[in-house]
Amino acid sequence: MTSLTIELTTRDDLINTLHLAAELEHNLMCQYLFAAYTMKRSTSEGLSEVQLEKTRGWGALMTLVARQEMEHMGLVLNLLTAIGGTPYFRRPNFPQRKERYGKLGIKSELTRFDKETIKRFQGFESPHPEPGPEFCATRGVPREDIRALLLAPQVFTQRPTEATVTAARGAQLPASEIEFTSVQDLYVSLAAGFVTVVERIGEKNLFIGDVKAEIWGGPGTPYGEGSMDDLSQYGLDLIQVVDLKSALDAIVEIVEQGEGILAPPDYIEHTHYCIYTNMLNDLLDEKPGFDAARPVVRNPLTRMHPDITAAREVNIITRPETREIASLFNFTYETMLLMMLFLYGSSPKTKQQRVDFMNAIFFPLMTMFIRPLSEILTQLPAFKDKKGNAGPGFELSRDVLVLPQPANIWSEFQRRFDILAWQFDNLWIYELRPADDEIVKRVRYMTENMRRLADDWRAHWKNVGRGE
Amino acid sequence: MWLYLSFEGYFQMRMATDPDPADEPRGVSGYTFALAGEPDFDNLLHLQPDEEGVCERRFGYGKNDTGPRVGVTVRQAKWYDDETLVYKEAPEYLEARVSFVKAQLTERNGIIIRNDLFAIDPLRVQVRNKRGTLVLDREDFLDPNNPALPITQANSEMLERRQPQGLTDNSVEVAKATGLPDVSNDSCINNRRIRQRNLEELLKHTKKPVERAALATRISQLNILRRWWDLSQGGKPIDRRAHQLTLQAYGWAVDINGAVHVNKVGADENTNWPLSFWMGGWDGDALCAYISGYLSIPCTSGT
Repeated sequence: MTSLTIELTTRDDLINTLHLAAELEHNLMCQYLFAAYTMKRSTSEGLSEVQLEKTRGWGALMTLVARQEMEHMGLVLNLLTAIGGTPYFRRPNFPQRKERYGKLGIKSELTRFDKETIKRFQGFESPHPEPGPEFCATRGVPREDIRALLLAPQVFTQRPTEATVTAARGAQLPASEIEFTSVQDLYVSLAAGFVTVVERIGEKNLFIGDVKAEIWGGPGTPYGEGSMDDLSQYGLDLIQVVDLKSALDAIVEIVEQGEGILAPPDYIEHTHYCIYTNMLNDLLDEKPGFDAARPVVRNPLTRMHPDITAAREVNIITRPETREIASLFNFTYETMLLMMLFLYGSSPKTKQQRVDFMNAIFFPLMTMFIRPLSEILTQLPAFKDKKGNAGPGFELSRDVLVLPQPANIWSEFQRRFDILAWQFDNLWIYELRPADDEIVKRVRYMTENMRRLADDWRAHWKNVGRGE
Repeated sequence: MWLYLSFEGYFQMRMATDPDPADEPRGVSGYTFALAGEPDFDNLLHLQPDEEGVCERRFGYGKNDTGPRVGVTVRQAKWYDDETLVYKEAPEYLEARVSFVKAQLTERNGIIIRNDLFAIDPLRVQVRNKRGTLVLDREDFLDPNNPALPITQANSEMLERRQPQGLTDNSVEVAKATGLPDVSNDSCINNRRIRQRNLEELLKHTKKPVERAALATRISQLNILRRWWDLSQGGKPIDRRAHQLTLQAYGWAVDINGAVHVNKVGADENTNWPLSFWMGGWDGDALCAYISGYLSIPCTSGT
């Protein structure tokens, strides 16, 4: 175990550090998804059959890593809820200079799949200190030893008073003041912080949140009606955080899956760091001229946002029909985040309301709209007058997401689904491309699905086919 | 008078699995793939090997090339006189080939159906006798009053007619049909390991890069037999790639209600024809599963 930068000693320290963690997980997830969605999907895009197979394999691994980032965000939100914090979905728009996250040095930008991008991702997930090339071929640490390592006395490089000030301001810090040196440092500091705060104020006094407001899966989940009872089939495990033990389990899971520094013996090769390391090695071995990704420009956005710190790296989409679909993507994404804010929030809700929201978010919105819209954007030209394709900008038009009054929640989302259905139905692209164009056919398919989703939401899910 | 046709066999269904979108053409984040050298998924239920879109794979080298082969045929055929209550064999329909024309198993990731209780749509049943003559052809409508109604506009009652009643894990009926020695998870895992070994042997004898790339993907997928994450589960549960070998979707029961296009058995066209079946034993490596069912045809004449 290396020394840690900051000692977290209060509930506020933990909450603010968890806010920063939520923002980072959200940020990395968007970057990974963007790169995965830029990948070529057909031999008609200039790949041989063998190259296409290889490309698909990389895409599968990247979407697995992105799913696990979503899971990490879910675990962080559960940790927040357990200690009385509130859900956190804020993040600045892309792109951001790497100084935005201080000593973490995380560059936030949306770039297509290539060697440079994978090298950047490898850096995000790297254990610290960075291991040698043998790391991904070695065996990890048995799980029973992991807890002992986490509970071992830590060495801190900052005094508590200084650290407390820094950590307590968490994600809202001016970038240069974030002192964590790596994602690993942040999470291991959190684990140590949970232990410290429990020692100081007691377990009961730390875990004061409404644990029923958490979203968790596996056997016994209250949401067993959906796929939540069987999450591990997707490489995920969302656990409920109720005490110090489960809090540490959640943190161990995040660090094991990501950096792999604490991974169990049979898992090292599946860690995010080793997935990206092996991918980079594969890419370096490829013959020149093999380009697995579409010609997608960096940071394709519909407009400039005031919180962007790397304005020169933005590419504004000028092609009207593409821009329209990019806006549709952003509205869908924002709607999904708002639904998650309600789902994880503390406003009173019944179990059925939670299930209703989960049934809209986790499969339909994520898999049937967010991803297909992203893939379509990477096939469309971004500009009127120069080359380069667009992509999903994950743009947030407002600094803070705000929910309506609880009584108006359902109707607010009805309004959003109706707007989406109308927008899908009236896209300009239908007039510009023939009806049998593959992109048009896919957009039409999504239009049918959005109309059905909007109608079924109006009917309070009365029309959906029965599940068990 | 009734004609009872009992049919079974393997079908192929080349489709993406979640969390891929339902219209994903080649598979990325699920566990089913259109591999190197294969066409995109068509999402259709192919009950006969000569249907356009069938893409059967090899399962091993030489004598080990054993696995599901597409072909759903009538295994028992009987006339039943409901006045005399007497059954008689109907050998002219034995080995007849059953097809569901352009049928899909639809769910659309929770937009139309939830939790893998897929609805079958469209549903049009054809039976060809062993000489290849089409003897029965009838379609079913989600809404007989509106035959053109698409599934995206169907209500839950209409969908339920086309859904199975439920899912059974470790089904004895499935294991018996597909030849698994028993229904245990160990048997499922062992079956996948044997397939993996057979494919590794096949890879040694395969020279073409495209075929080698496809085999490599299949072999690596067959490595995933236990799930990686297990904190909530308290042990590594069996992965769906193996588990589904004994999973059964049971209780499809549709009284076929629509237009009759061919009727060479003297069927009563004014009443519905009960069709019931189960599907199970999904082999994600082969993209095949087993179907077993009955088509019951009320007849105005026969034998």
